[in-house]
Amino acid sequence: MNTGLELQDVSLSVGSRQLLSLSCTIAPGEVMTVMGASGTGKSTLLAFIAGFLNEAFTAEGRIVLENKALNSVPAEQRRIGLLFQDALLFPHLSVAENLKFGLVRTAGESRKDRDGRVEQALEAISLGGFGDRDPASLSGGQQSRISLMRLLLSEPQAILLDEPFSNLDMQLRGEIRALTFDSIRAANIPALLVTHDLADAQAAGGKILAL
Amino acid sequence: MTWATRFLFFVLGAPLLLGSALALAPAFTQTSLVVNSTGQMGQLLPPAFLTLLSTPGIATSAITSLVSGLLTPAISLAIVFLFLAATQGNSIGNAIAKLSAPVLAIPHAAAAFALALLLAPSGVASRVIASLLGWDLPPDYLFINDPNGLALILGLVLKEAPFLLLISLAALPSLGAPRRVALARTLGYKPTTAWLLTVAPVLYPLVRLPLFAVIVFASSAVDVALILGPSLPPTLSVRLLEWFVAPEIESRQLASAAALLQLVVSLSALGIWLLFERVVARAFAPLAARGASRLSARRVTYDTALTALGNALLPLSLAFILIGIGALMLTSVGTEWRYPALVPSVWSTQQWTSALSEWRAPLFNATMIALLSVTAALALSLFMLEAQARSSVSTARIATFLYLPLLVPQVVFISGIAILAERALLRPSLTLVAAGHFLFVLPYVYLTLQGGYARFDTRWLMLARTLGASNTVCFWRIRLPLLSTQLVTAVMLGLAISLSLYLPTQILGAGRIPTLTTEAIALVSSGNRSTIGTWALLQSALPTLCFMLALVLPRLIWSRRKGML
Amino acid sequence: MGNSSARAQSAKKTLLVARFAIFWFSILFSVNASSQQPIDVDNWQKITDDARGQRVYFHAWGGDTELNAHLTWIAQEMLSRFGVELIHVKLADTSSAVTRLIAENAAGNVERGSADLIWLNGENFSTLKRANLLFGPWAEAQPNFALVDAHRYPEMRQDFGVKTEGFESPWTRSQLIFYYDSERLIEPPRTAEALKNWIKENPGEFTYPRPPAFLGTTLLKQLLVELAVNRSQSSAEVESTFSLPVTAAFDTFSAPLWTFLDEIHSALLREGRHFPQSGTQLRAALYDREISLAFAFSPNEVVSSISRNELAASTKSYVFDSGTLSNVSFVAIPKNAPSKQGAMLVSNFLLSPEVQFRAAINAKLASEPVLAFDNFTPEQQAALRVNAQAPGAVTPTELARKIQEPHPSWTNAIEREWLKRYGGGAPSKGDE
Repeated sequence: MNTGLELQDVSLSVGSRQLLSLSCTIAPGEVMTVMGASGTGKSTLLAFIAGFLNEAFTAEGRIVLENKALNSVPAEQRRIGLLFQDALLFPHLSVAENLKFGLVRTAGESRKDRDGRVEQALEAISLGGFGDRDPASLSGGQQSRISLMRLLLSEPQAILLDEPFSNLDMQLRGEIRALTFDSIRAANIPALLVTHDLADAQAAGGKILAL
Repeated sequence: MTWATRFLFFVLGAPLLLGSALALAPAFTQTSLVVNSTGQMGQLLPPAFLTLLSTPGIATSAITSLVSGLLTPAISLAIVFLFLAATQGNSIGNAIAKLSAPVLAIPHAAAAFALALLLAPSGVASRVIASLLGWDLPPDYLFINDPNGLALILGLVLKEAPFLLLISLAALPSLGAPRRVALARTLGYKPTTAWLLTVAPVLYPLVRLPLFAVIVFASSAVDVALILGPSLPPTLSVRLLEWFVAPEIESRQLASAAALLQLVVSLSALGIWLLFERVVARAFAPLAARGASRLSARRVTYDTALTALGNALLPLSLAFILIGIGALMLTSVGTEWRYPALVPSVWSTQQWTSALSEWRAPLFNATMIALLSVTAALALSLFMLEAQARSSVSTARIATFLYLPLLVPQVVFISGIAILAERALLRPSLTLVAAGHFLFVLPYVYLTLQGGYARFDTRWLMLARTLGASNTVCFWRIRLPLLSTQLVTAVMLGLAISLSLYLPTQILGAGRIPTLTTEAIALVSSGNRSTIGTWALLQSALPTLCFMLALVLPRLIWSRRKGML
Repeated sequence: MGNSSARAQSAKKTLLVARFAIFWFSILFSVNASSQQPIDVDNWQKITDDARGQRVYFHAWGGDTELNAHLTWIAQEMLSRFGVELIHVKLADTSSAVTRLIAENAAGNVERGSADLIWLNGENFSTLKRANLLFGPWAEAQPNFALVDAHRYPEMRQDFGVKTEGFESPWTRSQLIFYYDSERLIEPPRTAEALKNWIKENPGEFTYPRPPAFLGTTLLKQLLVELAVNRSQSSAEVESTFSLPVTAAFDTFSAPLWTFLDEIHSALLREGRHFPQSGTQLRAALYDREISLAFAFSPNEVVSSISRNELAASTKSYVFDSGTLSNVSFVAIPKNAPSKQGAMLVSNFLLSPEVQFRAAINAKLASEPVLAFDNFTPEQQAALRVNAQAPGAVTPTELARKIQEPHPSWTNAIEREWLKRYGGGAPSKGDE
């Protein structure tokens, strides 16, 4: 039974100045939005949850995901995914290799099976056959879709989104936004969205927290 | 001090300090054989210093070293900044900048000899004039080896300007130069002046440390001074070396005293430069704040003149070296080339065949030493940079430590390290020489990689970690591939440096470890022009190859990944 | 966590630090006891047997490619005939081997020196002998030593006036010769006085390598001896003065030399503001027509240079009327050499008629043999006589006019005085 992502009495400070404090629970399939001006600590919050808090900041409070406390768990074992503003496909790997990077291995699976899964995933986002391509040769929209798919293939238990749509033009934004939220709902995992665009927050459809 | 600085201190600082101490110690010992003057001073200073100070021409030697230590960086910096201001990233500028890299690869001694070949009274330039004016005998003028050290400064500038250029180019992208210049131009300044007023001041701090290394190097260079510098009296560094290799014990002590003087000279040059920085900074602001009186004829002329200089000086200096290399090639295959012939009258590959038959051992040694020292430097640098990145410790002060081997004159501490090795019963071996080379290679390798680490987008790592990759996996599969260009540059730079080192190989190897460089310089004493030409070219070949590879390899590796280039 | 484990931790740390400190201190102050057996130089068979399998590092000047090739051949023969591996360590300057030896001794290295055999003479030899850094005596125990006929040629036992006492073995000999471009100079000066006048009448046509470069110092010594003989009544008195260490009479005896140099200084090439660094640079200056008279410490200089196209075919060489300096150069074995037996075998081989002839017949090598002429076969003797007829060669009659080298201390004194007067830039009167 998925219990979602819980933030218990989380408080972030830099030096003696407190940046933010919150407590909340994000249910599976729900996208909670955090909005605020720059410098209010939104990105720091994401960094804290993912496990990359910079030494300049101090944090208190517990992060609980699927009933497991994550505070002392290293970042690579937290099963939390990240989506940034830029697609950030690894430029030295092909599209397929990018997708395979975080692919969770199931027992008894051969390389051919994995390749098959990747190809299936590509077809699901209408990019079948793009496996061998150089990521730099793709358009912005294509890169965003592959970035999202890479994230999903790693089977995260929660997703953090750091203004992922602000670099896309108006046309693409709606399309990618819909794709992203639909995927999150279909995977039934909690997500935390940081943005300063109200339209994003409304499309997310979950709680909105203003800092 | 963090553990990183402590560690670096041990690896770099200890050998340096110990070495310098052991090298300088003999200056303070008593000896019965040194003749010294009596009087007040005689009771205050050890005898070695008294002898040093009463050596004829010692003041001239020191001053020549000091002046070349100041003029070389000044002129090199001027050439580079004028060039950058005049070209500002246009296509010609980029092409010329790319040409600087192979010039960097040519070892100092080879470049110096090329220059001597060009400008000597019986050299190529004189022969060209002779063919035009019908001369029969060479003129009797003194430029190469002139007493003022002008030829020495020229020889150093020809090599240091490309070095500073490449450092500047590496630092420029982070400054947003085009925007600054555009802003100034909208305020009425012409492009070259605009660049000099808005970009130069922010670029300067980024090239400061390498500039200090140039100051120390120029004030203590030995190979170039031997070929181009004055001889009556020689520069301080050459005298130091002469005393060091002389068999008498008194000369050894004199050498130690001279080493101390050399340290003083180099530090004084640095001090004077720092003073000069303050003066320029003070004078600069009012100069810039005078405003651009629109299109005043004088300003336009200044700007045109500066642009012309900027466009001409650097390409000229590169052309000089390249023509010099051409002269070296001619001389290496010409067995009869008497004045005033423009080209050799008898050609033969005899020099090459005899050189190539002897080059196997020097080539093997040079390559092994270079690979060993660079691998060690690479491993250590990556280890330290990665450890620091993971614990997000400030790395600013580390840079200063790294420059230590470059800020102390080579001859001063290498001889001390040799004594240390003797006491430790370490026989002169390939490994010992590689350890010596490591000290010089590490700073460059580390700093090149540090640039890559500093500009590294940490989001790559965050993404990889969230996709399940541990720190180790991240290092091998994300960090290293994305740093590949810097890695290649660092390795090739390190190899080129190791391949052209002379003093460390000679002293630590006790002459038993011949490399291409030691063989080339050993043959300079034989004076035969075509022999020297051949070996100078051989000596330059490997480092040049390294630089070519540094340019070509990334393109080859990532031909199918445009995002990496 | 208890107190005991913390104490154990700190004890461990102290032990580690102590071990570390001891290691470093021992490095700095270690002294090595010698464990070598004494060598019986008279048992040549045992020496030959012991030498087999040894590796001999021969530290010798490496600036002459012809000589390097000759040594390569010798190395091949040493390996095939005696099983000794000879390695030629090419030096830019013999004094660097001396410095290295002194440094090794200072560091306590008494049995694993880096050099087994050193080619040297003059100041270098006397420095090492005085400092007791050479192995010996051994030279006269060599089977081939008898061939140099030391009774007839006492210079085989004397190095610049210093007795060798068996601490070094002769190898080559050499002599100062002058040479000129006969296309530009019809009749060259044949005495010191004539040289001075010629230089003053032809400014910019002459120069000499800057002391303390070996060849420059040699010219100074030549002039010193010749001018002193000119001034004095008895040439025997002058000779004996120079063969003894320098005395307070230095100023009197060297005064004519400094007057000479002062007079010609501004008429030299580059007006005396720069001197060539070596004999090879001097030769190149002649080749390029910058000067028209030069000199070298090698009787075969002109012949070998012409064959290598380093001098024009019109170049001729000669010896001054009253003779020029000549000396023998030797090989010596350091006390801390690990392969002494092999080194002795190499030296003996160098003295063999076969090797001496091979070097003598090669006009490109800069040396004369040290063996008495009658040690060569009649065919070899005939071949050597033919050699002496080559264009640019010096005749044996001229070469017979030899002057002995002064004591090494004279060399140092002259170099110091020259540097005082001219080494700082403008000629000065020097410190009085």
